[in-house]
Amino acid sequence: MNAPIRCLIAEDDVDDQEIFSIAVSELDGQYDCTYTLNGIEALERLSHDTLLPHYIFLDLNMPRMNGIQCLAEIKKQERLLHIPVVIYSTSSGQSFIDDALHHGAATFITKPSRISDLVTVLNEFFTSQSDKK
Amino acid sequence: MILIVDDRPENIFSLKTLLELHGFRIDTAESGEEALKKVLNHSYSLIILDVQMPGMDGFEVADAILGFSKAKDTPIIFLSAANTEKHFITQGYTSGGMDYVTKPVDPDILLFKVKTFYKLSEQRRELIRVQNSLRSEIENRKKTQQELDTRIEELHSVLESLPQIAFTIAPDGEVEYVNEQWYNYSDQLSIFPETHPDDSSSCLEWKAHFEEGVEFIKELRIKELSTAQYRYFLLRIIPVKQNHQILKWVGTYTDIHQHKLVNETLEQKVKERTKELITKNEELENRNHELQQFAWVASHDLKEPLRKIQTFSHLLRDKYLKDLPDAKSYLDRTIKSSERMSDLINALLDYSRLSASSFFEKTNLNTVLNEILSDLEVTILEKHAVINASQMPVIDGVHSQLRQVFQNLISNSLKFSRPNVFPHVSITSELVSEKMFTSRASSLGEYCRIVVSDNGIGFDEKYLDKVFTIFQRLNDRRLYEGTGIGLAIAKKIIEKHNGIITAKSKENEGASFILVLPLHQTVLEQHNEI
Repeated sequence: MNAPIRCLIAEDDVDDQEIFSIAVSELDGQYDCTYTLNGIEALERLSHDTLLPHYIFLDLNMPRMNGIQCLAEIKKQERLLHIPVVIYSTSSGQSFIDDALHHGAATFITKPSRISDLVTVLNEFFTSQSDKK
Repeated sequence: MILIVDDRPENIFSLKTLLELHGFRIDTAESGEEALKKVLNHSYSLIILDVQMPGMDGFEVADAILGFSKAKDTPIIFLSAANTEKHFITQGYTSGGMDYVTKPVDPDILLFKVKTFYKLSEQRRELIRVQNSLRSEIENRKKTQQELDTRIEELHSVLESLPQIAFTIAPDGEVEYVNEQWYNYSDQLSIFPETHPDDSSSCLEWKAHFEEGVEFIKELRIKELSTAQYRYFLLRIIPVKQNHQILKWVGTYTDIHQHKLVNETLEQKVKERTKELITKNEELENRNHELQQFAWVASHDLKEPLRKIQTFSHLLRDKYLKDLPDAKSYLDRTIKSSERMSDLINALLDYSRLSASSFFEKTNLNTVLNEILSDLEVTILEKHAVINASQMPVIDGVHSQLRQVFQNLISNSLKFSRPNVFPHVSITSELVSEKMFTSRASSLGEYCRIVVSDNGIGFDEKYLDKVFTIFQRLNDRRLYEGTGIGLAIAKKIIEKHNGIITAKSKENEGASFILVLPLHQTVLEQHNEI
């Protein structure tokens, strides 16, 4: 069995945190998820933790620092550059998607209305990422 | 011509011969009576008259000739053999004769005298002619002068009757004549009314027009003497020409003060109104923008809780309600409703997003169509639909927007199919020369006309306006799902592409949507207004 895959999630909505964790629990493989409530908290964790996450998920709409701002900060730091960052949002607007990709997001995931759909999307994402490695 | 009068033909003959030899033209008469007749009818330069004749003698003839105005100045030479005495000669001169020659005639002397008198007579006639022509010339000039005076008088009386200030200027630039009105604005004929300092340039301008000999028109203010107020006038001075020569200038000042004031007030009002309108417009734009923002934020913020309702409903149904069919049925309906609400919110979002500006780029409509057909693959298979598309052009457009148009049109065609009839959708395209639904096809046309037609339920064309209006549904929602926004979005997108869209249909006979789009956009950024 492989070592668990570490994910850092910045999400201000605890319901969404729960939905995310349910979806992740249905995935094959082991995932170790850490949740923060906003971008600033996420950045703090990233600067303190010695063990960096494999993936970062950022909600787009968060108080204090939104997903895109946080993404931009992450991409400024050499030691975080290699971590794929996913922007995760209710929104599906093309302008947000373009903006996220422009700032270096690995992908943009629109929050679906079914957990099973989220499972599918996450599965596709992790598969594509492990194929890259 | 010389007339010789003698009762003896031999005398006439010798004289006539002599004179004709010297180049004179001769007429003759053999009696006083005959001579008088001839004098009446002809004009002679000289008459040689025998004194002694039977019937009328020479003196009587000369007297009679004196009475003819036509001949009274004709010189007469009397010829006489017998009457050589002095009193006869005296009578000869008093009878109007010029000379008196006694017989026998010395031809040389007679010839000399004839020549002299002839010459004198000719000179005299010439003098009279000159005098006459001079007289008629004087008459002519008098007449012309009179006519001119009459005309000037007419002009002056016309000018006098005008409500305007009127004047005439001589070719040398001096004021010649002014009408009564002039004196309300100037004390003197030779001095123009006082012009407002701001209009003082008009004097120089007039001089330039005067030098060039062309009409001068100018709006200016002049001072009324009685009130010492400036009033607006229209000054017009036109040259009166004859044979390209300027005879005089006729000028008028027309009072436009009232008119001008009204205009100024109007202009002021227009300015105020324009300003108001601009402010209102700005307000509207702001409102509009706020409204767009509101629509966007509202739909976006509505989506979040709704998605959670859906997610947890699904979770609840799938995990806990497997064995509770009644509860599951209620939750299914909740899920169905929340899906519909989600569709509505998405459509609203799409619609409000159209207000944001985008840039046109080369868009291959074939690619657009292929993308849609692959998206709709499942529906197409389910419905056993047949879709035919002809070759489409590449146009300046916004890819995502055009995709939305065709997506909406084609999915409508699939959605509104007749029961038990497999949907058949055809998409045709041709180039046309004008932005008109009925424009003729032309391979060099700058527009393309695309027709999306189906064999579905169609609609009554009296609802044509409604199908393109947001939230207008023609069909029962229970039978045909949909948000009622699709065609409104399509219309808005086509308009943002400077194109036009309409539809043709009959109930139960299918519908055709006709689009005319320009191939090229002149401005590459879309207009931003709703």
